[in-house]
Amino acid sequence: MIRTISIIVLSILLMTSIVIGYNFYEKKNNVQLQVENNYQRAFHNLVYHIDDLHDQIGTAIVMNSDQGLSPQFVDIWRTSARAQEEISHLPLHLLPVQHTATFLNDIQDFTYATTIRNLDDDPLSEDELDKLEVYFKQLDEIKSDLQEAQATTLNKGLTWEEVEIALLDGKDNSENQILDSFRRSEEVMEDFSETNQLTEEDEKDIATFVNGQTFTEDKVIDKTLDMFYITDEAAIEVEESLEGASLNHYNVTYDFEDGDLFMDVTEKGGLPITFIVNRELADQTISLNDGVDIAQAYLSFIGYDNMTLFESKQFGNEGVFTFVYEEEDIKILPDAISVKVALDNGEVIGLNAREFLLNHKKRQLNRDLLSEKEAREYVNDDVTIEEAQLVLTRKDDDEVLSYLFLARYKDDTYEIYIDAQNGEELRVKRNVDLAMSPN
Amino acid sequence: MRKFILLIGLIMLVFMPIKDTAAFSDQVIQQGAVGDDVIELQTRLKDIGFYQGKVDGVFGWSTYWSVRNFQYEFGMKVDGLVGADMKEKLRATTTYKQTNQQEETAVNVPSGFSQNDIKLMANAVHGEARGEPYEGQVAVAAVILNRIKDNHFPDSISGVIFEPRAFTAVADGQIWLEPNDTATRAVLDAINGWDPTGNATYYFNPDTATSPWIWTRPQIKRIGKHIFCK
Repeated sequence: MIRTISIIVLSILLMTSIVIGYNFYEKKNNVQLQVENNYQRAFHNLVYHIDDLHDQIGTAIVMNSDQGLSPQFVDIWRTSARAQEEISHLPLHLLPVQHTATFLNDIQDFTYATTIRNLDDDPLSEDELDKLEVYFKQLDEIKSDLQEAQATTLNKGLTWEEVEIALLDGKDNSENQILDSFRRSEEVMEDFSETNQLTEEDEKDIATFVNGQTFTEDKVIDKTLDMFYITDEAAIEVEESLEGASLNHYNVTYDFEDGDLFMDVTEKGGLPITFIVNRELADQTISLNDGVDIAQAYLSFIGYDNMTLFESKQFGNEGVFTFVYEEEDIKILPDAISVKVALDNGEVIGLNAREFLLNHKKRQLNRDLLSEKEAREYVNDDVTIEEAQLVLTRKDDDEVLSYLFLARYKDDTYEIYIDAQNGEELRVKRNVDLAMSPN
Repeated sequence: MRKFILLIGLIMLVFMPIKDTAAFSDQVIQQGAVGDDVIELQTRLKDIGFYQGKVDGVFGWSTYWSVRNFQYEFGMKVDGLVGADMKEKLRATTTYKQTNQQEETAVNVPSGFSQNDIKLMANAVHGEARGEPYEGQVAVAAVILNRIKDNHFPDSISGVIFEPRAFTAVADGQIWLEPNDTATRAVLDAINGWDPTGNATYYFNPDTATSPWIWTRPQIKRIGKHIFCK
C-alpha cells in the first residue's frame, strides 16, 4: 500500500519537475532567440548599408552636375552613419573593428565637408575625386567579405551566439567564419588607413607651458606633503604614468582617516594637473560667493595669476568654479582651470588645470578688430543682447578672437560667438537652466 | 508640566516672527547657488513681478536676469550679485512668509546632461567599479565620456553603455544595482571635467581580461585594479 502511494507521489513529482524544467528551458530559449534575432538584424542591416554605400559612391563618381552631387553626398553621409550605428549593435567589442569604424567615419567627414560647401563655386578637386575612387574600391572588398559571411549564416545557420562565445573564449584566432570575414575586412581597412594616414598616432601632447626640471618621485612626495599639509610621508603612494600617456606624469594617492586624495603631477616641472580630495562634506557654512574668493586666492597662491571667474555652480555642498586666463581684458577660454571648494569649511578639494597646461602659451593678439557695435550687427535681430565681452575661443584647430554675446530670446539665454575679425557667426549655444529634483 | 508646554509655546511665538523677517542669511547670493536663500530670493522677486519662473531654489539664468532687472529698476549697481543692499530693498518692497514645511529644493545639473543621464552613468560606474578607490570610479565615468567624444563609439551615454559586450556590468546585470552617493559624485566630477585617465577610451582588469587584443592598446596608467588605455 505504502509502496503504491510513494510510487504515485514520486511519479507526480517527477512529472511536475519535467514540466517546470521544460518551461524554463523554453523561456531561456526564447530569450536567447530574441538576442540572436537582434544581432542578426544588425548584421544583415550592416551588410545592406555597406552595399548601398558602395552603390551611392559609385553613382557620385559618375555624376557630373553639382545640383545632383550635394543631395547624393547627403545620402552617403546618412548611409555611412547608419552602417556605423549597426556595428555598435553587434557584440564585436573585443574584436578590433577600429579601422572599419575609422573608414566609415572618414567617409562621413568627407561628405559632410563637401555637402556644406558650395560646389558651384568650389567644385570637387582631382584629389577629392581620387578619394571617392579609393572609397569605392575599399567598399567593394568589404562588401564581398561581409556578403560571404552573410551567406554562411544563412546557409549553414551560423549564429552570433557562437561568435560571442568564440570572442569570450579569448582565443583571437578561434575559428568562426563570421569573425574571419570581419578580420579580413579589417585587414583591408588597415592598409587603407596606413596609406591615407588615418591611423591615430600615439601623439604626445604639446604643452609649451609644461617645462622645467624633471621631477623625481621623492620630489613629488615632498610637493604633496607641502600642498596638503600632510605629515605622514609613508602613506603617500606615487606611480609613474605608462607609455601611452600623452603627457608624462606621476599619479599620487593618499588615504587618510576621513577619505582619500588623488593627484596627477607633470613629470616636467612638477605641476599639478588634477587633484581631488574625496571626503564626506558637513553642512554648508560658506556661501558660493565666498567660495569664489577662496578659489581665486588658491589659484594665485599656487602661481596662477590673471585668472578670472567664468562659471560657478553649486553641487550639493561643494562649489565648482571655472576660471579662464585674462590678457589685455580678453578672456582666453582655452586656458581654463576648474577649482572645487568644500562649502562646509572652505577647503579647496579639487583642481583641474589640464586645459590650461595644454593650451597656455604666449600669444600675439591681433587688435585690428570690429568694434562691439559693428559685431552686434551680425547677431539675429530677434534676440535681446544683454552682455558682451571679448574672448579668445577655438574654431576647429585655430584660435580666434570673438565677441561673446549673452542674449535672451523668449525664456532662454543664449551664448552667441561672433568672429571679431570678419563677423562670422562661430557658434550659438543655448544655455538651459538645468535643475533636477532631489531624490 | 502644562506650564512648561505653555512656556515653550510662548517662546516659539516670540521667535517665529523674528525668524520670518530675518530669513535671508548674510551670504552674498550669486548665480549657480542653491538653497533656502535662493528660494526666498525667487519668491520675493516673483512677488514683485520681476521673476516668472519656477521657485526651485536654483539660481539659474532666469533668476540672474530678474536680479539684474531689479537692480536696474531700483538704481543699484547692476552686477547680478545679491548682497546686503539688494536684500534690504527686497525686504522693503516685498513680503515673504517662510512656510513651515521644508520646501523641496532642486539641485544643479551640469549643462548638457539630464538627471536621467547622470543616474544611468552612476549605475554603470557603480556596477563596474564599486570596489575601486574614488579615483577609479571617476576614471570609469571619464572613459564613458571620452567614448562619446571619440568617433569610433556611439555618441550618446546610453549608446556607449549598452554597446554589446562593452561593459561587463551591463552584460551580467550588475548595472541595475542601486548606485550609492559616491558613484553619483564621481559622475558629477567627471562631467565637470576631471579626467584622471588622461583621455582613455578603454580599461581592463589585467587579472581577468580575456582578449589578447586589449593588451595591444597603448596603456596610460593603472588605477586600482584597472589599467586604462587608449
